[in-house]
Amino acid sequence: MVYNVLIVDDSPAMRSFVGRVLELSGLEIRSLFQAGNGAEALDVLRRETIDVVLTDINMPTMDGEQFLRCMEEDETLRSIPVLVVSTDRTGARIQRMLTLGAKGYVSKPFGPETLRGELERVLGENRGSK
Amino acid sequence: MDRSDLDLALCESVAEVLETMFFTTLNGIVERERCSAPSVSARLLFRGSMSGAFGVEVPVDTGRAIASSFLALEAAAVTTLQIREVVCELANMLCGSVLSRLDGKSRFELSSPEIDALAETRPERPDASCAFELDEGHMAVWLKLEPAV
Repeated sequence: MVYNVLIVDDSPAMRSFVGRVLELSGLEIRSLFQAGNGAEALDVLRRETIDVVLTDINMPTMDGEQFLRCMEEDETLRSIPVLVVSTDRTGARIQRMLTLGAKGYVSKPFGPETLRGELERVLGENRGSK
Repeated sequence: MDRSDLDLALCESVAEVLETMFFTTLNGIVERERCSAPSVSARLLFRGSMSGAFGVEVPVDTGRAIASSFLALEAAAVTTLQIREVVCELANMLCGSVLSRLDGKSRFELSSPEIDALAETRPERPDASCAFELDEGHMAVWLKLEPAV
């Protein structure tokens, strides 16, 4: 299966890094989209067909928590799996993001194989639920 | 929490972040001194069970090499803007890693890292600071805590 992926992070360097990890991961990527915050990400989601979202939490304008809430409230978006990628590794934050609808969580720093493994798990579960 | 706990958290975080995401080897700790070569400094603030500021400083050449590795670009192709963006992201990850080592149960809010163009906001007496030798050069990090209320 070929995927359209949206990377949401206010750091251009991190978006580039994640994109490169995905392209080298062996996953079939059709298109990589980027957004600098949750509001930009919602614009992309309403314009493009996205199969999975990778998002940071701490972002200006609209952070990751608010972004997840908006996705859950939108019936056209809530089925798109979201993987959180964040420096925050506290149990409370991880649980909160999962409660808000995230399907996976990767803490920075991470090795490429960790991101790939978690993404494959999320995509596999999503395929199974359809 | 004493200085040795803070220094240890700094050292462990630097090693983990550099080796995991920047594919860079930490060769050792060196005597901290202000960088005399042109450098790139990034700084951010944090709030939570502890509040304060965190900073990273690298010589430009080291920043270029780190950015080259992180972005998978030839060093000559890395722009000044990209060096700054990568150093900011490095500061972000290091700060998050240090704070999670110091208090793994509490949530922290981190500000967006900013380039500290003249390195003037680095405190004279940080609560913790370390300088490291890398394959690519040197790096210094510091942490300053606000007094507990």
